[in-house]
Amino acid sequence: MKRLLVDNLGERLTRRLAGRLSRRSALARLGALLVAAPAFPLLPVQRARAADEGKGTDFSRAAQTDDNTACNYWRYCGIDGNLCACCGGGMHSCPPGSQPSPTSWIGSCINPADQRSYLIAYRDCCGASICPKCSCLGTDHAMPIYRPQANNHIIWCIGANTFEYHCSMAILVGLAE
Amino acid sequence: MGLVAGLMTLITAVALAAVPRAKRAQSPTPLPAAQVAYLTSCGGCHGIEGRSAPGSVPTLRGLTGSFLCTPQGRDFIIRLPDVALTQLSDRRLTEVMNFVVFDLGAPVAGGEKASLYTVAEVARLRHHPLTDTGLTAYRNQVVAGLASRCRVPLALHVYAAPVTASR
Repeated sequence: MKRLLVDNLGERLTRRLAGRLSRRSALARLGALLVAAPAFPLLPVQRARAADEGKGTDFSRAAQTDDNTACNYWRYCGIDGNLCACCGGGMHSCPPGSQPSPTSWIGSCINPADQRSYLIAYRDCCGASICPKCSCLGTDHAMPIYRPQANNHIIWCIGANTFEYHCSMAILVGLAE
Repeated sequence: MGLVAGLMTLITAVALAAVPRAKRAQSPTPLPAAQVAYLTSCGGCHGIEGRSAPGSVPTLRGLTGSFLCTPQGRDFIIRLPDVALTQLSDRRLTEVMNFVVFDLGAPVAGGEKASLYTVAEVARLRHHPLTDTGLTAYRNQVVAGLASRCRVPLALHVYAAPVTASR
C-alpha cells in the first residue's frame, strides 16, 4: 500500500520524540500543562473581559475608599453637588434640618477594594439652603439633560416638600455584577 | 525536570485555589439582572423598592399587578412611553416588567392564573408606544376599566405629572 507524505512525516516525528524523551518526562510535562492551563485565559472573550476588569474608569483608577469627604471617594463617581458628609450628614443620612428626597438617580461605581461594580443612589437632601462645602462633579454613567432619569445636574428633590437643594448623598444599593 | 514540573503544579494549584476563596469571602451576592436593570432604568424615580412620592411619580409596589385585570391594562403598562422607548432589549425589558408586575406589584390580578409577559408580546406592544395620546386621560380610562372588573387599591387612582428644576 502506498503511504502518504503526511503519514511518513508523522511517523518520523513521533519516532524522534520517542527517542529523545523519556515516558516519565512526557507525562510530567503533560501534567504540568493540564494543571497550568486554567490560569491562562485562552479564549478572546475571556482575555477581553480580564482586560476590562483591570481597566475601570478614569474616576475609579484614582478613587480611594477611606475619606468620604473627598471628591475622589469611590462612591462619588457620578455625583454632582455638595457632599452631605461635609455638611453634618453622612452617606445615608441628611444633615439636621433637611429631608431626603424620595427620588434619586441611580448609577454604578467600581469599588477599588474589590474591583466590582456597585449600584449607587445619588439622593439629594432638600428643605434647607445650599451647603456651600465640598462641591464635587463625577460623570460616570451620567447622561445629558434630555435623558433626565440619569442626569446628575437635575435637582433631585422631586416628591420632597420643597425644591430647595441642600446637599447630595451616595447611598449604596447593592452589587451590580 | 520532574522537580520543576511538580513545583509548577503545586504553585498553580495553590494560586487557583486561593484566589476564588478570597473573593468569595469579601463580596456580597450580586442582585439579579432584572432588578439591576429596573434600578438603573426605573428605580431612581419609582423607588428602590417600588415606593415613591405619592402624587409625583406613580408608586409600583403592590399596585402594578392590578393592571393585569384587563387586556387593556396589561397592554397599557408596556406601551407607556418610558417603558416602550427605553433602550433595554426586548428580552431585558420583558424580565424587568415581569419583575415590576409579579415581584414589586403583587398581588397580581388573576392570581396564579396570570401569565408572565413573553418576549414576543413585549416586542409587539412596544412598537405601539402611547406617544400621541393624552396619557393622563388614557390612564384614567384604563384604571376605570380595571375598577369595573376587579377590586383595585385606591392608590392606583393617584397620579400627577412630576415637576423638575435644574441646579
